Amino acid sequence: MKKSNAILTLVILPLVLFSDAALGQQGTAAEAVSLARKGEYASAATALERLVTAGTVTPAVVESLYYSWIRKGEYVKARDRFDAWAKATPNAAPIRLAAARVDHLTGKYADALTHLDAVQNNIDVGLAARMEKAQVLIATGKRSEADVIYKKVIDDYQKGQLNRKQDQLFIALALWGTDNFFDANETFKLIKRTDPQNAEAFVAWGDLLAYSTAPDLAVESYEDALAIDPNMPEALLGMARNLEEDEENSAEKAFKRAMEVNPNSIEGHLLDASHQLESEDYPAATAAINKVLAINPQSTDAMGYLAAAHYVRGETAEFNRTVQNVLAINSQANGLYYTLADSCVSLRLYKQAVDFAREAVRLNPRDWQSMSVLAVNLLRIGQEDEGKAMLERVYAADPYDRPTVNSLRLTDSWKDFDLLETKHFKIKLSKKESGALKPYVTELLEKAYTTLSAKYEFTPEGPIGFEMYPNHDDFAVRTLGLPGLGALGVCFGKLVVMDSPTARKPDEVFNWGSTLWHEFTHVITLQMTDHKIPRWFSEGLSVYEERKAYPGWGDDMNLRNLQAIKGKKLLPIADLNKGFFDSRVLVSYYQASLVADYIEGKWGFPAIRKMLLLYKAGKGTADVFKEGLNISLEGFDAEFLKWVDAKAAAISPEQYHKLFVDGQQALDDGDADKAISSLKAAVAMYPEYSDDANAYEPLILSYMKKGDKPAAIDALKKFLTYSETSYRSYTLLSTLQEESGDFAGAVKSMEASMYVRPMDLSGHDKLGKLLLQQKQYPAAEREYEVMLALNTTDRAGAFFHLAEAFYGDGKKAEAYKNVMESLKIAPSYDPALALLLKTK
Amino acid sequence: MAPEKDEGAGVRLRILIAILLFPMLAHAESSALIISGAPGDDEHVKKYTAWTESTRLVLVGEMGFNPGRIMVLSGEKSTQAEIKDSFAKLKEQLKPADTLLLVLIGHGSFDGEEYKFNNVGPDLSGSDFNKLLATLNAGRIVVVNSTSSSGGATEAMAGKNRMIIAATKTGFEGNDTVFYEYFLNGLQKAAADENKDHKVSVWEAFKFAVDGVERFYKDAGRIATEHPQISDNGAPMTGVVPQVPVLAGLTSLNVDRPVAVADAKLQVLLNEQKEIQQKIETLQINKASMLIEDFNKQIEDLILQLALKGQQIEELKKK
Repeated sequence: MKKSNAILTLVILPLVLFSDAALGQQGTAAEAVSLARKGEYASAATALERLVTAGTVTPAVVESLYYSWIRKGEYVKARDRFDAWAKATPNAAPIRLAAARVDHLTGKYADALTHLDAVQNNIDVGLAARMEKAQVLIATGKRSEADVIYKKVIDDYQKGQLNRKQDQLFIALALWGTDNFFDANETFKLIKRTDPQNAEAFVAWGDLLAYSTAPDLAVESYEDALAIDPNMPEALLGMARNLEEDEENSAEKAFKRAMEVNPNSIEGHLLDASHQLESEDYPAATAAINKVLAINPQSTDAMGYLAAAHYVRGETAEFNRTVQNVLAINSQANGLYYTLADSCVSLRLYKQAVDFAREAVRLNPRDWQSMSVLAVNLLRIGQEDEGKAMLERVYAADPYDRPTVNSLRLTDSWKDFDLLETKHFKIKLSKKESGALKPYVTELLEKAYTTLSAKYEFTPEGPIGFEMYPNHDDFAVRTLGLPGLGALGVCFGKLVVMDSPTARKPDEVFNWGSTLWHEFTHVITLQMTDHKIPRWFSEGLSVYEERKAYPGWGDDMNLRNLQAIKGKKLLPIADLNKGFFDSRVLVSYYQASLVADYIEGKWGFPAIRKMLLLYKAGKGTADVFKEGLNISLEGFDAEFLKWVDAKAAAISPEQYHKLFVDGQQALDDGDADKAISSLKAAVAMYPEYSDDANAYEPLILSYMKKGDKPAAIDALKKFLTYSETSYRSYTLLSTLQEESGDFAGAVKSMEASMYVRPMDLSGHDKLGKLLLQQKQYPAAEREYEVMLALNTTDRAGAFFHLAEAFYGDGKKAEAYKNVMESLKIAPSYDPALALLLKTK
Repeated sequence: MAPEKDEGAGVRLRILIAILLFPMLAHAESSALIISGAPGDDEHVKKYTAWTESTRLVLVGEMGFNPGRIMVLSGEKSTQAEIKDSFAKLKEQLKPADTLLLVLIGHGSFDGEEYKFNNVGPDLSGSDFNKLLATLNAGRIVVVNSTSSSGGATEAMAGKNRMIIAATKTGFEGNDTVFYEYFLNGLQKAAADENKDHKVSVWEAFKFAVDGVERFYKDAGRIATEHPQISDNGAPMTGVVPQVPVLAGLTSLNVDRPVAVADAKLQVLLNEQKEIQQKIETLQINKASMLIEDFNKQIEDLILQLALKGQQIEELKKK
């Protein structure tokens, strides 16, 4: 989640509108200003330049010209022209103001201050000049002087000295600058009512709302600005920043549109840089940063991203030099450290994010954004007490910051969680569910730990936190600070957070076991590489390990993936990270896992280990492939894509569908043999397809109609090799296996079903009985304990069977205790009475 | 004189048998009246017909009801006149120790003040049913009102020695209900027999059904539009609570026929077993007024006695 401090970067000032009588060439000036307001910058600039050259230097005309040039990215022209005019007419306050603003934009801070000091008491533009000066002072490390300006503005307002419509925006900004967030917001509401055509105000309001992490409200405000000026780059970029989490196509569109209007947009290039950093494309990030530095060589925002790029690549000398350069411009550059912290978060370097956020807060104890980042990431690295304390501080200053409010509510809700410890984990499970989930979760976590730490020859730093949330919004808040996350689980290196199986609606069933395994694999790969593993490889290995852990777990070649392969939509390795940030994300997960499969197949698993160690050493992907696999990225892409194409070559979705339809029809018509023939052919052609309208399910029914249990069992097993969520199939397989005398198989099938629906009483009852039958007493104990935790209505039965399990396990005292519990509920329960006598 | 001695033993045996039979003669019977009202559409016809027939079958097949003591009024027969006529017959049939089970299947409605059961022709209200129930001389009355809005009738029908089960909490829960499906499931193969005494009590059946209803809505991801309630012996309506309502907890839907055997020794053991079971029952009723340690000690002792008694009975049976 990206936040921008509009106070530091704001270069927007309102138009100071004068009555028509004050304008020289009334009609022409008004028309030209109107063109600028509507976003027709080129036409407006031509007309306005003519007017200014001819001596019309009213605030409206000059500001409109300024906007028209700046919004088209004509910074050099603007600077040259306004400088020249300023020299020629030093008393033309609007010209001096515009010149100052261009100087500020292009990093000529001293020149900007000279202009601003000259006009700060001017009746028309003085207030605007003072607010611009405050921003320049902040940019150059003189925050306390800026505070004096803001406070004076507020003071003047309170004394009734600032009562023009055009003053309102400055008042709002001054309130924001002094952390009066509520009053700032109220002032923006007033502006909306009294000055509804003030597009700049809507942008500023959007920035405030985005700062308070209310992206939905921010977007509404930017849309209000665009309703006035549809080409306004600041508003379009505001949309791009705030839509990106939910509606990525719209965000992309807004960004592209902004860059079409202003190809030199500083804000746009900064946004691009942050995206490129996030997708680990450092050359592209550097290119975007350099575009900003070409316009403003003093841009500490751009240098912040440059520092981040150096940092993550281990370029210590370059990093230090860049930091020094920033601090030379602005010794109080908390923004630098906020950018570093934010970049580290997106690159999963949470400890480093904490360190950088701390430094930001040290430089500016009122940097609530950085403090929020610090707080949330302290929680992520397991420092919960300090994290909570930080959240309280942010909340006290800014009770409107949604991530802070949400996170505080979440930490309060932890009192409703049980805290458990195993050998390697500290676990939080909701009290309502922990009785039922604990035995399965703890067992699977330790199994994942033992299996993967041995396989990767790596012992992760612990204890590792694990949290399961029955409320999906709580999981999202724990992850992002806001509800609305589409993921099932997230790993922060030493902490795994995921949805509980009850967090999703009944039609959103997922396999919590494979999700847990996936996330734990991230613990291994993140820690093993000091978090330097690229996103694609980390996700790829997690899906690959899901497939290894259990039949059916992990992504397969479903229809979407097949179509991506056949449509040649797979990405080269060099670009694969980008696939995780747009609509290609699901295919990218699958592709990345196939890359892991291919590497293992050709070079062996040790090669994967070697690659991880190379990433840990700070190598880039090209070098990792070269040194680890002795192949270039291009060479790998060529081989890999050929291999993938071969996997998909024989599959025709259309033919599959026809075979499925024919088979289903035959089954409906009662012709099981014909159905089997069609459906078998479909399965043989496309065995990995297990989603809706798959051929397996009618094939299984056909076999059952024929009474061919062995064939039905085989088909079910094959289906479950690719499906991880069909609870019904797991239980059917178990029943058929039991009927066929394969009790061990029946047990395994029911155990697998528990990773889909662990709260299903009938499933636990069935499994419990099978386990007793198989004399697997400890596991049977688990089942009946779970049934009791799930408040089965048949408590007498559950206690009795639990007693049976203890008795079989040689634990007579436990058996006695539990059978007595059963008999207290059901005193006439004959089998329990008989068992009681055996245990006495 | 051998014949005189044989005569004496025979008389003692007959007296013993009579004594054993006496409880049977004094035994309470159960009657049932199942009323399935106007169904509406085909889907409801199918559902209500299935429920009605399944009720009859389970009462006879599993609950021990005498088929002659089950009256069914469904569809066109569910008129006011037929219903009143059935109550008149019940008035003749029921004895003071008997139990009546009244099942209402179909649609109900509530106008804010009064519940109406949608039978064929003019509907009967909750008050109407109350008046009809008041004419009966039964020891216990169990009403299972499975209709929509049934909660609106409970207050009118509640009273001493009555257990009123409604599928809904109030008359305003007017959607179709699923409650009865789970109530029936609980009676089949004694699935609801929580205390394993081979009987399903009114409370056990209610609890089982409530659990089923809750799981139905949860699994479907829907908001529950029905919240079953019970009024026990005139008390206010309640859902499932930790403290078992006395009357509903003690009243079995199974027809209680005491076990009598020819073997005198075995009969003695059975009677002793019954005695221990009754002591346990009494202890359970008094649990709330005891220290938990005392309760646990006493009940564990009794349970052990019961187990040993059961063992003796089994050993004797084998001989």
